[in-house]
Amino acid sequence: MEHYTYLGRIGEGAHGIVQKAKHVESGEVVAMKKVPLLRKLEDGVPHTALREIKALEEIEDNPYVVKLREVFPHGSSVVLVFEYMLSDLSEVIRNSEKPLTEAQIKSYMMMLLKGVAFCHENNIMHRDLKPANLLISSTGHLKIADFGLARVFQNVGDRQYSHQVATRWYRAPELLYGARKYDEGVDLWAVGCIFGELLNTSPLFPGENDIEQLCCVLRTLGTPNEKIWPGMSELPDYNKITFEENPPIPFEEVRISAKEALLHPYFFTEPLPAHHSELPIPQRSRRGIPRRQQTHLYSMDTPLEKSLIDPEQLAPHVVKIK
Amino acid sequence: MFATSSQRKYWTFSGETELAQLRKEANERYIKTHGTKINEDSWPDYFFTVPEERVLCRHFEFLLKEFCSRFQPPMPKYVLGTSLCYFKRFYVHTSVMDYHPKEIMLTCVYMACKVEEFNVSIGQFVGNLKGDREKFANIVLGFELLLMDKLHYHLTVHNPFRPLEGLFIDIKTRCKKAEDIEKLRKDAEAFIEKSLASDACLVFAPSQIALAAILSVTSREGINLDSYVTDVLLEGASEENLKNTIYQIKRIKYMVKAQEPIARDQIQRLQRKLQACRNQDNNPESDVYQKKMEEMFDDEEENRSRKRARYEEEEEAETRELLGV
Repeated sequence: MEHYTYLGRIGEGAHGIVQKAKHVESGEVVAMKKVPLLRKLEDGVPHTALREIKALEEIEDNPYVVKLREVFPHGSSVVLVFEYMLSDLSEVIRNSEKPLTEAQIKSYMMMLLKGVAFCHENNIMHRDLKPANLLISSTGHLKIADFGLARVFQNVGDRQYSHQVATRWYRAPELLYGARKYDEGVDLWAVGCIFGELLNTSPLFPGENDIEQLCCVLRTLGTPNEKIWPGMSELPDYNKITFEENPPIPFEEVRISAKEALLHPYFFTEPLPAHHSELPIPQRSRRGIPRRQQTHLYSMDTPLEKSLIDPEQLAPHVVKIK
Repeated sequence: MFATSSQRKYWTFSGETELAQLRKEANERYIKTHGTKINEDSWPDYFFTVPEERVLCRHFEFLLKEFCSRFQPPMPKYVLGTSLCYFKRFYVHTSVMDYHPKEIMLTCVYMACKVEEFNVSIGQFVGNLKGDREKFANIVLGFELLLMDKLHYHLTVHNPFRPLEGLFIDIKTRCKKAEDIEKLRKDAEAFIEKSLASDACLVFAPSQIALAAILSVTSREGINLDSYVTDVLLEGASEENLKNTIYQIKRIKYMVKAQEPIARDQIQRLQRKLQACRNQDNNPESDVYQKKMEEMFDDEEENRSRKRARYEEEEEAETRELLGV
């Protein structure tokens, strides 16, 4: 802790306070997530923090995944130190003055898919992709963050997973039907929802509860059946609820992997994905860090002379060099 | 992926020689810092020697295994593998005298349960212990952060159980003459379990240990898998690569089979010795430790408000005095 100077509070996450700080030695600005240990006789270091450490300690640096710089204990907390990120995609969607252009959307999608492909290559399912977990750097880059629900997956064996993962609006239908065995496809579903949200500037499937969520999805995509979704009728919660039949909507492709998605012609046709310098860089005003007032305010109407320095005043201080 | 893992990068050592050296350094470090008040001549009587540390460590590894095998609900094998790996990693750089293996052992198992997503609450966990369960819970939770720190937050462990599964599938599909390999599963698993008691997980890749397990049990049954290994499994590998793999397999087989039995007659004496030479700062029964823990668990907020309350009281007292009330 003594290696850092406190700069301010960024916000409060699901498992702890996030603070902005500066690494004294390198001068780098970081985000510190302080995870308090649960009190005595509760279960100690929370699972979410363990998962995050476990996933991020194993992967090498990737430009599209937020970097965990270090972890250290501090009193009765674990402190996770991340690179500092200016904002997140949910703010970009919300605060953009102009709607995002197609090129900008492509650029975000490309970065997102690269990050997801990287995680999946390293056998990590994120399980909670949503705009708020996609951070935006001061250079406009998108990085995946918050691995508190991430699982290292194994394709062999028959491990069961919890279906109570992911924020509802981005939760894949198999999870909504209670599937306990699923794969990294759940992340791709979320990627699709985020894509829709970028295009619409509003959430694609904003269900108010789990049942409505499913209804929302089926209304848009049509009621699935055993033919287009083999095995669906065997999912735990399949028979618990039925909805009014929605006409199936023809859908070109099945859910593809992140790696395949990156090769989709979409990314290679005009308009091409925007360069990161052409992406909006929102300020973190809402999150409570007051932005420093600019010291000089220039008014367009003041005469120019007023803002210039009078050479007469300077004259006595000028040292003449012969 | 093992190839890019922290296990390979930071926790795979060249062999017994390197491990022995690191353990010797940890032992010397401890004696140097704690031996200042004791005559150097009596150091060997008072402190543990490196071989003594090893005996006690191996004894507790055995207890760890027993604890896991009796655990309710039944625990998957990889939780045991991960626990043992944590325990071994912990004592590579730390002396047994610094932290009692009994406490570290329990913490390792608890941490492994969590990391491997074998979800048990702390209540359930200590329910598997006899004695003062609340005390055990406090010990485990108290050492959790320390253990993570000593493991340098490298929590992912690659166990040989998965590669073994992979090899079974591969042999069944690509090696005609060993199609009924399935009946050797128990023996192969037994080999891996035996390997857990050795330092194999600190030296070799999990897939190599799994392959050694298969080759060891098949050769015992008179099945020769040499051509499968050279022509199918490692097809296209360079001569050197092949030689190296064969050499590593030999080393694993030797390491697993040549384990000496634990010197049980020494355990009682060593436990007594440990009571004297252990670091009291890290002894959950000591006053120093309890004070440290109290401080740690005292919420900073709480501290601050307590301080504030005290200041306010003092100020009030001062005002009262001033006013002569």
